[in-house]
Amino acid sequence: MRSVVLLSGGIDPVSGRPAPPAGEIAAIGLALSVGGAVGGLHAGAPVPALRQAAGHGLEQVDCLQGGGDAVAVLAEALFAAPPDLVLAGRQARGGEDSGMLPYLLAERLDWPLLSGVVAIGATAEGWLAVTIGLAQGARRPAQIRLPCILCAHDAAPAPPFVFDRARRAVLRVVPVTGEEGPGMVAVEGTERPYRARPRLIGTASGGGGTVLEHPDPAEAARVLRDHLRALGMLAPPREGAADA
Amino acid sequence: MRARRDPRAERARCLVPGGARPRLARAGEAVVGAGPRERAVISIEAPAFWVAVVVEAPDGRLDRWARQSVGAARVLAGAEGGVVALLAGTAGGDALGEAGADRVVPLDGGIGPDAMPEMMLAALAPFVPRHVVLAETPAGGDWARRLAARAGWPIQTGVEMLSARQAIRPVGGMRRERAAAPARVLTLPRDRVASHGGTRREGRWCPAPERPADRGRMRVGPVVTATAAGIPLAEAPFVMAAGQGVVDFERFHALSRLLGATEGASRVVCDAGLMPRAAQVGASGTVLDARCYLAFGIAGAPQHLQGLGKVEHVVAVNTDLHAAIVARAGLSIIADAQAVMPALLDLLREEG
Repeated sequence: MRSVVLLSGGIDPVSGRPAPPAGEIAAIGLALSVGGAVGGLHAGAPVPALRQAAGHGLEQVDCLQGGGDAVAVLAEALFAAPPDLVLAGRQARGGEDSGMLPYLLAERLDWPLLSGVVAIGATAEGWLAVTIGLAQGARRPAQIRLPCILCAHDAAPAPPFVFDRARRAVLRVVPVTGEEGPGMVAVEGTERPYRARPRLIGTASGGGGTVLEHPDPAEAARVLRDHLRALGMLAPPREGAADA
Repeated sequence: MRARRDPRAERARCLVPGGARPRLARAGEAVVGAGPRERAVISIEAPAFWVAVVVEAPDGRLDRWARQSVGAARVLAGAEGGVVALLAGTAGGDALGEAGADRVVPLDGGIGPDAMPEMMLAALAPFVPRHVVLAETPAGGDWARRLAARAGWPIQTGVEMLSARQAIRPVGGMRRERAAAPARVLTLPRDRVASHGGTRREGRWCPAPERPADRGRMRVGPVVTATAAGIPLAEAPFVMAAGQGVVDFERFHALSRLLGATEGASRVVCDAGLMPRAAQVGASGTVLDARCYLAFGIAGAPQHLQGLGKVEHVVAVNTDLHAAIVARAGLSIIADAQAVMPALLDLLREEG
């Protein structure tokens, strides 16, 4: 199975230095877990973040240089030599940062897409088994027809960084002729340095609570149970259970 | 940026809905009212335009994030517009009307993500909404991008400030931001836009759209919820924590298993090595986003209470009546945690 990992020219949001986003490192980990040939693909000139990403387990990254719409350029490259699996992070860091590229690519290639993938299982008859990570540690099994695009969950296991691998990685420049396509629909607006805005403060239900002073332990336990049940944190009692 | 004070709104909040009389007398006694009053409901027949919002309610409850996304749709709709909520899940009654929705269209939540944009487009077709708002949850963010890609609509993801005229979102690796007119599709992170605080809306139910044909490209299985012990502490809905008042950890673990609660601990307990460092709640540990926090033997140091952030319900068992956590708790039991834990354990085991 041949996998391709889409890499962006990432910027670390805290330091502003080039660094691959967590989701893309997780995508490399998922690609390595499948086995077979794994390559990197980047729309644009070679940037230092690509070498860092390659240090997590890629031997070669193809950089499609020549301008034009990233979706069109990537779709053309993937159409010319179709891999079995395309992996991407949740969203890039350093550009538009909308997380739309894999979706537009899937729409253009007419491939299925799943996002939030934490693990990849076995392939059977053209179907790939994957696990999707949801909030609160919940998981959802899914199967997807190959070839497909998978967006890695940020929390998927990341492979370790190896400095030697980063040094030896080959960043191959592939000249492409840019084609202006109807890829990303641009949003006009004014751009300026980021200003951190505080989040809304939640309404803490402080004070005014019930206070029970020095009750009997059995009484305290009963009050606690009834209170938790009223809050919906405890399942209602079974039918016919003895209630004190 | 600090929100500007609005003295008129503050004064209005001290009055009962309708503004006929104050909620409380100055002396602090409740004013004897004339019984429950009819609550006002705004119903709108043909608004100038529609704003759609996609709401997730997998467990039949609208959470804070879902209310905030309906509030954002209300902001975009203003006085002339109407808000139509597409409900993926089951929220009964008029919870959505309360949250600010004029119409509610139920969506089949069990449908796979591949067919979701077609279903949303079918549901939106009669309304032709000016904007579609979604919460940037794992599922909501996915649906928003699928919808924008399928329909070719411009999208703004992760909008941090929203008004009817402009939406501001970070770009360039959170180093720059772009202010622009609100796009057709918007996704909202948590706690960026206030939920609707005004008069209730009608929340009239509309027929569900036709289920689109499956394209046969993916099969999605049922959601497997994690066990309480497997949920990350920051995301856990129910946390039970031990402080210095807890000595018998065997009982504590047994009780957390029976209650189905994720375990937390105070700094002192983690320092003593009685609980793992990952379980620490507070300023130097994890800040919770739980619905309920059950504290055994925790007095509530300021650094610990910081970790309770937005916990809705706090329940405390502590020997000290004057402990800080008693002031924060909805129910406080002034007793020895070591005595209450076995009693609660016996009571729950008796029930089976």
